[in-house]
Amino acid sequence: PIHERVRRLTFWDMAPAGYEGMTAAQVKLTGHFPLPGANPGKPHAGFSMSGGFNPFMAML
Amino acid sequence: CSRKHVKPNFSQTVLIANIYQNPAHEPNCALTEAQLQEHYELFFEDLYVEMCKYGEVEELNVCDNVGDHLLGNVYVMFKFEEDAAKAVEALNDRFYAGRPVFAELSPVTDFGEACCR
Repeated sequence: PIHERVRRLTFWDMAPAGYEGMTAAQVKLTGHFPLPGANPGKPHAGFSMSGGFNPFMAML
Repeated sequence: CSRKHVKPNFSQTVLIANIYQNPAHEPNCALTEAQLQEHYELFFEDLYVEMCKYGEVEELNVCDNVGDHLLGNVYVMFKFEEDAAKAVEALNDRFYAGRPVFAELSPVTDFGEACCR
């Protein structure tokens, strides 16, 4: 059954570094993690990892 | 979409915006095709198994489009609207891979027809 499937890795509930202890709703309100297109003209996390990080990269 | 779509109050389909971070879109991506595929499969498994906790999943689509409004979007169609509603509520208070999750109900009911003209 699917709920017994062992995942090779999981990134659920991994809070951003420095934001541990905050809820996801609180973190969204900081505006530090906007969705692409939310700030026109600014680079966003989807194309530039400089502001965030992509933990998958460490796995490969 | 840059157009104004009416957000449904009830839907079987959940949109999780920009959750798939395709390394191919990073400026200095040196991964091979095989590594990118592996990356995608790990992501898909992690996502799919987690979504099944919220209810029976009928379909799961990961957007490959690079438009701002579609980039990394995942659409999860549940069998039951109640499960989709529960999933949205729960997901909006979770993190994935170091970022908060942005989930909402989507009006999409047929992915083959999900093209906004």
